[in-house]
Amino acid sequence: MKGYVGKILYVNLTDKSIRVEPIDPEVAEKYIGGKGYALHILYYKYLKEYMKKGIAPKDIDALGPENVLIFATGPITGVAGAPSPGRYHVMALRSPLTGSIASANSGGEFGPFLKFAGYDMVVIEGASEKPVYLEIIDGHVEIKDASDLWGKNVFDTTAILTKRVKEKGGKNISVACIGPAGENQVLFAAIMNDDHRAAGRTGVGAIMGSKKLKAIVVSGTHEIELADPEGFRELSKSLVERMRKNPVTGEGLPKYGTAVLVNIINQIGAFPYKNWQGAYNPDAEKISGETLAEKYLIRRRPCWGCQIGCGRVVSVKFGPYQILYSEGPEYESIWALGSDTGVADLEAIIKANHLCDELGLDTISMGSTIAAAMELYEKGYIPEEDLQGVDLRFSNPAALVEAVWRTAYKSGFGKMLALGSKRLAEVYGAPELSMSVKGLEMPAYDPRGIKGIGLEYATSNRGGCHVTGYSVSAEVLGIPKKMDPLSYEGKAALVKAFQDFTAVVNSAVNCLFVTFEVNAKDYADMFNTIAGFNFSEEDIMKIGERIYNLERWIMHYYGFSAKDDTLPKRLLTEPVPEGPTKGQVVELDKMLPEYYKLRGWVDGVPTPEKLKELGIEP
Amino acid sequence: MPRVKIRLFATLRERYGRGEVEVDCDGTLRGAVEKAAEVLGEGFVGEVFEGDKPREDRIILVNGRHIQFLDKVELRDGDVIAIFPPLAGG
Repeated sequence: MKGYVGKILYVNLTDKSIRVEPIDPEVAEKYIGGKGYALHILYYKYLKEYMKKGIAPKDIDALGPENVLIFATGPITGVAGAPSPGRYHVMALRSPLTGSIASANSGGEFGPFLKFAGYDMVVIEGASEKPVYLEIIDGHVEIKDASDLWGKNVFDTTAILTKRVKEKGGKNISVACIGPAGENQVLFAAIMNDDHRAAGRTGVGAIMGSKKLKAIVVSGTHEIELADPEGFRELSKSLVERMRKNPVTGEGLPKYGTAVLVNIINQIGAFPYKNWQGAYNPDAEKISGETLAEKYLIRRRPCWGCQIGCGRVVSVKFGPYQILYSEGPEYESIWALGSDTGVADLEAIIKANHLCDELGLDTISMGSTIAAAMELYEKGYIPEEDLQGVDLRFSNPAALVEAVWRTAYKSGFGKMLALGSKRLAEVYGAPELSMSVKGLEMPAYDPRGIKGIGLEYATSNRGGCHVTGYSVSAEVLGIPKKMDPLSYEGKAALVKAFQDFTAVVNSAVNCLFVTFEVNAKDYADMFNTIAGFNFSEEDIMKIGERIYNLERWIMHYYGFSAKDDTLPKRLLTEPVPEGPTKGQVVELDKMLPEYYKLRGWVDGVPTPEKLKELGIEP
Repeated sequence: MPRVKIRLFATLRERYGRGEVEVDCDGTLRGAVEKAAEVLGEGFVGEVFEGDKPREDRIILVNGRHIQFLDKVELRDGDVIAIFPPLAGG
């Protein structure tokens, strides 16, 4: 198949067997690649087979050898001239953090270079007894001893493996690995690639750690053939030009990165503060994108082939939080490590963010878990002696930085933080203080001030997530059209459309940020010229809906239903205390029934009729 | 005459070399922007208005609410007008 390499690599770490299967054109037509194709593999090749053998889905241990981890690219990944094609998606049968499907996405070079190394996807089965890493060079695959790498941080691991492959003459080298946090199975450990890029969410790094898989290094020069090179050239020219002219993809994101959102989200009163006790941060200016650009930004670092280049390179030149080279921090990370913890020292936030990269932690869950611990401590739920000297009070920058490394090594109170906010708050008897949905910590938008994102958090398949249905785009930024953030009207349809479309983007796999300009019709054109499909705009939305429903269908086997499609009590019952959204709560029942109706779901689960309509074999 | 604050963000802040101006105005958005233009330069009116309407490609908030979704804009003492160029992230 054009656009694809055409090969899926299966590696079993228990018996060390390696096999290759071709991309199935029928599956590709229904699920594209990336997230969609990986879900198909997880359901039909593994979950259904497990069930046939009498293994109940609920008994699958996310950190056991039965879990299956997939690194997945799609037809757009690695295609030069396509809009921001430098990403890949990670999926696993179960997340150790949420118990739902694990799902995470990352940029950098790893996605394109995996294709250049000769595979569209890598499926990891089983678990090794001893630490190993996987070396994939021009189609040749070896499982290698990683005893000397175990214990090393992300940057050292990346440098060592890059050097080894470079010495063999390897081209286009990229490393995806775990740090100490993944090795120690911190429940929200990330998979890191190209030093600072993270497949951050749902604990995929812990899964890699449980399999004793330290890293995957890829290298190669495979060329991706296109179905209609001439047609694609024309399309690329027009899409790239449109993105250049678009003020967001052409100017805003390149200039300020994602952190430019700090001020606007705070100004509208939807910037969660101190574990979501408030939605307005009086110190936001100190941690804003403008301040980051003015004081710490050195240059940009785009992902492979990206026309936008939102990635930041920063430096803190002096002081206790000195770090001479770091990347980020992104908007979500600034919020989680900063506003959510009440820390207004941007240098400490940069340092904490750097440590998350170095040790392999998801910044959103890390910051939110520290914030939950701070509230638990201040309200007397956590006894002082449990903290072993870490002064976890809101706004303490030194405690923030210390808490991060302690979490990765499970040192002292770090072993409690390593559980994530849901388990932490349960242990200390105040589960309502975990600001999470389905066990996944929510990101940087308070739905009391942006109602649609509340529906997204409640219904997102992976839990408290913004990027599977970024309604903020319309509700705050006015893209593609302005919608009132405080109104409930039209939000169910908005969220469903964003969720379905995003499922396609994550299966393409390219960057979600292109969708500030690139639409469903453009995706059809890209798939058609790159891979030779014959898709219409309607097909694209239908494929997205199919992917979203298959994921939901798998989740129902784990016991997820409408009871889990909700928000933390605080957002439903505690009015915002001050700021522009003072007095607001989320009335989820004004959106959820309509959403289920549009989805064709009963009790939060697709009906047999819906599955049939979408061509999903249950 | 109400005294209001006009706050600028991102590229607008860079373009006008400051993040904030405080002006006495006649209570209308137009009036406040015209007063600010006396400080920031004549071109500032065109930064916010296209003809007599606020520009579609600006995000304009009064006390944190998008002006499109306010019944009417009647500025009072201490009100904050926040003006953003098109921006995004995630």
